[in-house]
Amino acid sequence: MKRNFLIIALFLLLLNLNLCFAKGLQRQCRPPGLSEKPSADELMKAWFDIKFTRYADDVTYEDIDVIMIDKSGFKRTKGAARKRIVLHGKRGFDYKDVIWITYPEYTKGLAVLTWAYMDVNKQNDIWLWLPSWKKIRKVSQAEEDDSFMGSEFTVEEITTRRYGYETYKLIGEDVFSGYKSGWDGKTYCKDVPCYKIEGYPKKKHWYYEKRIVWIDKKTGVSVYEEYYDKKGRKFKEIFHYYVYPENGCYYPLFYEVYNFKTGHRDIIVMGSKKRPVFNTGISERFFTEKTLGRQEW
Amino acid sequence: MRKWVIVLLVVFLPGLGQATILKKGPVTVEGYIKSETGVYPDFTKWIKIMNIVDLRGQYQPRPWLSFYGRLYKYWDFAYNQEDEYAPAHQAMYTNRETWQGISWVRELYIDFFSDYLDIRAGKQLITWGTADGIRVLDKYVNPLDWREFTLKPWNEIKIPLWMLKLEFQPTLNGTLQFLLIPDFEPDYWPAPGAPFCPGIVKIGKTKMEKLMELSREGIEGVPFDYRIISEERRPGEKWGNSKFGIRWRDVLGNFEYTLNYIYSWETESVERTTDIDASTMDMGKVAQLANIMHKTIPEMFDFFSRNRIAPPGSTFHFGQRYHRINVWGGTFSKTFVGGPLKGLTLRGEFAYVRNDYKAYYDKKENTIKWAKTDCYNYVIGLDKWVVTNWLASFQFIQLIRSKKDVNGNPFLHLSGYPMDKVETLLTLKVSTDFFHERLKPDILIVYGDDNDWRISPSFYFEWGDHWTTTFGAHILEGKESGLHGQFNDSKEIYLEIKYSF
Repeated sequence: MKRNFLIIALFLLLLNLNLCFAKGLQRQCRPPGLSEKPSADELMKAWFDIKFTRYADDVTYEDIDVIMIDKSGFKRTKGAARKRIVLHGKRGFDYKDVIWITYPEYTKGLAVLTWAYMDVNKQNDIWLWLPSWKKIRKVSQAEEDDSFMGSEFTVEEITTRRYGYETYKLIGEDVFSGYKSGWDGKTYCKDVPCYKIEGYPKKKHWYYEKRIVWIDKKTGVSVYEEYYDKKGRKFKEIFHYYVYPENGCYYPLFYEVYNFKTGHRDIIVMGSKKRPVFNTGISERFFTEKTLGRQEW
Repeated sequence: MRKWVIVLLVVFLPGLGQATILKKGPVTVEGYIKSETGVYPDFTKWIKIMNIVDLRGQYQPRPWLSFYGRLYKYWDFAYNQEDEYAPAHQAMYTNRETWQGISWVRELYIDFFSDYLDIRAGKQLITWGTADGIRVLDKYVNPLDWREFTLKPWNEIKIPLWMLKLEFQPTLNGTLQFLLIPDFEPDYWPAPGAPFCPGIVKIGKTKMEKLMELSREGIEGVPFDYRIISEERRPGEKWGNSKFGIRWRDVLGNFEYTLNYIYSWETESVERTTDIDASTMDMGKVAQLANIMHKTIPEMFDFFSRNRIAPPGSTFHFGQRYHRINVWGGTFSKTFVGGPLKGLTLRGEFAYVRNDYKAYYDKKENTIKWAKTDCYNYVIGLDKWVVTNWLASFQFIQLIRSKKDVNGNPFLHLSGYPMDKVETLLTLKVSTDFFHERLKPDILIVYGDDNDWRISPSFYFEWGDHWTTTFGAHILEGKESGLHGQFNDSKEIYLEIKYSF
């Protein structure tokens, strides 16, 4: 009797220890802090990790709105949901991602499964669920300068630009004067101290000649980006607004782009109605064609 | 009552102007109302005047459990407008039995999701294969509604079936799909007179008309008054008559493949049977005819036999016989993510059908018969993004039969004309978008090796969050013997206006 009791007690103790140990090893939900004098490459690598939540294991965005406003003020909205799992180089994978269109009805059901690789020279593997044909089609990665969901963002800016696509140069530090959003009229990130980095694409004849990236010195988030053409004219600006909860993961509230040539403004709102959730233990099995086949629409 | 419900929906729903008619917690209800109008290019004839209501609902109380239903109903007023469609109108729109597979309830199923096993049970559509514009493996799962030939997206013209789908995922990327389909529906062919009635159906109609004429008019003024009984003879509703399908899918690096097998029914080329029961013959009329023609009774029977005429009063049993077939096949897809072919997707699909039934014309007996032949069908496709957002997709398709003919009688096309042992098709689809994906033009070109063409350009435009329009054309050219050329008189330009809610 006594021996059985001791065995049970030992088992329970070991179980508890295991749980505590596992908890201690649980991935942190925040990016590591920046060094005191970071280089341009360090800053851009940190931003890349934040943008693709590479410091977390998985993330779910349940309510994404893509709001497209043309220069006349005409507005269209598309809704989407997204899940991502970060594989940290396991079997050569960087991350796997599924995005579904949820609104409007005539595009609802379109879903994209993406497998991204650690090798920056390797294109993503992509599968589309085509609702009108009720079938899955494997496709090559769209040209990265193509529009993302019909917006002014390019596919590269939202999904594919990797650290290593550009060469970087730290050009100084400055205080960001703030960005007035066309979405809600508010001014964000006023007086935020930033590092300024110039990025030059390695691809020849690309859609931009260079861009200037403003990185928040405290958080490592790129708050603002300026895109310049061959003639040195700024033709596009992108603003990122992140939320930094005290005990949670950084998450983007919205991204906004304005194209000076077309007068179009587009906003991707990600955390306004429902906060994204991190590290919920999504299985890698979710990121397969079986999931695409679940679409009813 | 149902018509009034639809009228109310049509009148009130657009006025709501809401993004979704209903989205509350686990319940979502959405849908659309669409008008499709097609006219012959010189505007002398309507091809279709369709109004469609589509309503979908989902109840998902848990992430792993979902109930889904879809109602779909349409009316085609072209059949009221065009006199030449009148015979089809009678057969297709008033004959309730013909509509068995085409009901209001288009899909209705329950889903169970998990990491290792997904289950979907109910009325549903399944898609096998990677081909565009043609069904190689897919045709043996869900049958097709051929009323508009193959000019519409498969989602709208495939006939849903009651079935059980299990999708088991034993490995990370490998899935085993099992289909149990106890429901039976044949392909739905438009009746003679309809704009897309294929030539082979018209041949059958011509023969029937001759038979009816003989029945009414007879010979030498003596009507034959045949009894005509039509029976469909569907497979009985028992488990042994179910379709069973299995598919293994896996991804190895950038290479993805499936292996498919299905024990199915041939529902596209259905054998037509004619049994003549001469025991019901009217001897009085035989004697009357013999008297008029100055023949004896035995000489009359000899006359009937030599001229392949059934005696007066005989009973004709017309039926359809469905045959079981075994289909083995597979698909593959490979996207080149690096190297000189970077960005190119190569895909393929193959199906071997053992003992498929195909129609041929027996010249000696002057009638259409059916015979077994093995079929080997395959598609090779290439997809590539060219110049930023232009997607080009090319396919090479061959449909091969193991037999060229039956005793010198060639097998028949859908057009009713002889088909080659090897039929080759080429397709090219080019699509792009403008104005931030609001305008999406595309063009599909299908070329058959007998100089048979289909060219289908379309322009799709999104006006806002609810309204879309599509303007396009289906140009069908070639000889009357061709797959598309037989519909020379049904080429159309069309306009679709859709309101989504």
